[in-house]
Amino acid sequence: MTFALRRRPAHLLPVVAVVAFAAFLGFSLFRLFQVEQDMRVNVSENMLWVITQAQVASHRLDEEVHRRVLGDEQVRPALRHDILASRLVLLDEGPQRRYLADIGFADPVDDAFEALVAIEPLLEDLQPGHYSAADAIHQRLKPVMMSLNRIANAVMIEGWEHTGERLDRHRRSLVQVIASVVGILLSGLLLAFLLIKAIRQRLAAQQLERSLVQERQISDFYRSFAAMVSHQFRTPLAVIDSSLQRLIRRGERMPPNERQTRYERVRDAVAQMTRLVDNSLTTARLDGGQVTVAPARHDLREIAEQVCRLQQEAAGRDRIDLEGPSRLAVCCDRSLAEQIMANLIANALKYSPEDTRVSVHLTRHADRAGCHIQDRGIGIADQDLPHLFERYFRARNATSTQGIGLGLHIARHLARLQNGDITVTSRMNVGTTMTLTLPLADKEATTP
Amino acid sequence: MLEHYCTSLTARFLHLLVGGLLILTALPAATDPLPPPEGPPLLRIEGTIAHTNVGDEAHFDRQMLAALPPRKLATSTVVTDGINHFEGFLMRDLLARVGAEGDTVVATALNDYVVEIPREDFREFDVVVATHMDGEALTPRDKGPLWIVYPRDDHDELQDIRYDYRWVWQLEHLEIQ
Repeated sequence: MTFALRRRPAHLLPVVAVVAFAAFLGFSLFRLFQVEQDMRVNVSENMLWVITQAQVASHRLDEEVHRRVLGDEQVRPALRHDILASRLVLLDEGPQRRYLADIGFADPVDDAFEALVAIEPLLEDLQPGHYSAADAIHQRLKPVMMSLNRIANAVMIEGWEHTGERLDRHRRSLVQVIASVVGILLSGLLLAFLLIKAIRQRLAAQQLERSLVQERQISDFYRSFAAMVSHQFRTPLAVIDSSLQRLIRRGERMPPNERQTRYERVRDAVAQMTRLVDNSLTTARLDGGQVTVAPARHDLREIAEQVCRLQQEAAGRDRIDLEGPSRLAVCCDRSLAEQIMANLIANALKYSPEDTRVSVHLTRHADRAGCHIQDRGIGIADQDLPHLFERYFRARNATSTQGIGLGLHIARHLARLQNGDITVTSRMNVGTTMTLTLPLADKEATTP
Repeated sequence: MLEHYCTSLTARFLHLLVGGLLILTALPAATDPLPPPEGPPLLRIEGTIAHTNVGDEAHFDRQMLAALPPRKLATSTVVTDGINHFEGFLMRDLLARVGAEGDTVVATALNDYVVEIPREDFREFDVVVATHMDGEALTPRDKGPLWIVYPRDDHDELQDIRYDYRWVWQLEHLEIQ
């Protein structure tokens, strides 16, 4: 129950915001539509036109009756009478009649009709000089004219009242629409805010995911490192233990060279473990970004000569051929370059038969210096080549030899730290060439 | 001694009496009956009124209208430009002068325009019957002799067509109902 309640608020606010937005929008559109529809109606204006026309007609009849008796032959009182009648008919029809009834002026129209009926026969008597005829007509016509004036007055006022009410209605609608628009604005802002919040949450989640992946990688590293180390340490530790055990038991009875062999075996094991620790430390430092690179101008030939010498001493055999220019200035970190070369040359010696030679060939190409270490050994399978520089990777055909797969990974990382790189070409059972490239030093650069 | 005392009392009483009478005569002219008009009447009032001077109507000429407390009003109108300065008297003062009792005032103009105005308007707003606009006397050739003017600029609710049609110009007749 509580779980469900905690979930609801996440969806509640956006839904409310969307609903509010839609409701405000719909409402304002509806109101605006209503106002637009209302604007099409013009009852008052029509009515005013009709009534003023009737007024004019009544006055013109009166005028032309009097003009006729004064001698004007041009006027046509009969026509004026008909026109007045037609105006009254219009007032008596449909919407007009209803309008007049609503404002209480229906009866005057009926009275007006009666007056017109009475006036009609009197029109025949109209001749110049017949003042009494004109007078009789006027007596009947005057109440009609006054009544039409009163109706016009009332229609005018009714029209004003109606307009005022209409404006009030429209004003109210507009205020409501304005309020709705404010509501739309607010719910829109709310939606925008929720959207931004959602995006931020997504970004945070992505960030968390990345951190998680990183942590997983780190824990993977430590897990496999622990596995590797514990496995790799066992062997040399076992060698040390068994050798010392034998020395303790039968050391005094052992011939000196056998004793020597055992001592050396112990030392080898210790050396192996030391290398393992060093490699792991280097890797850890690389991971933590704690390796310092101090690039300077060095002679790659000199470094190569030193490394080859050391390796040959360690191997006990002369198997290395060093070729290339007698001077090759590069920009690198001396100790790192030494480490890399030592690693590559040691590999070459290890993975090729003892009677084969390893060539170290220095080259210069464009702005890069190259050190090509070629052996005629077991080679590397095509499908292993892409994975060669991965951490802990050991090629399928290398698992019999001692060591862990840290060397090449470290070597390439260190090379790249100096703006260099390591590449490899190989053929199974023919040989492998490892190439270390480093940037050439500027001719103008000075040795620090 | 007593004589002197009595004389003082009488004197004081007489003083009070005279004073009171004086005060009475100084009371507002509203309670006075209307004198008959001397000049041509500008305004005729009939209906439920207490004071009349011609039959059951009260006729006012220019001097009688001038005797009412004068009032000035500056406001814009819907039929003129800018702000106009009106001089005249308050409608409620006129209604009080004739002792009007009723809720509706039916105003008629020279051209037979008729409109019913609720008396409440005159209580709530300072509605002026103007005799002069911008320093000149109003005449029948232009909205005169009398024009009912509302203080349009002073109240938002008066800026509405439903009040505008109560501004009767060429006013000549009032009926109190």
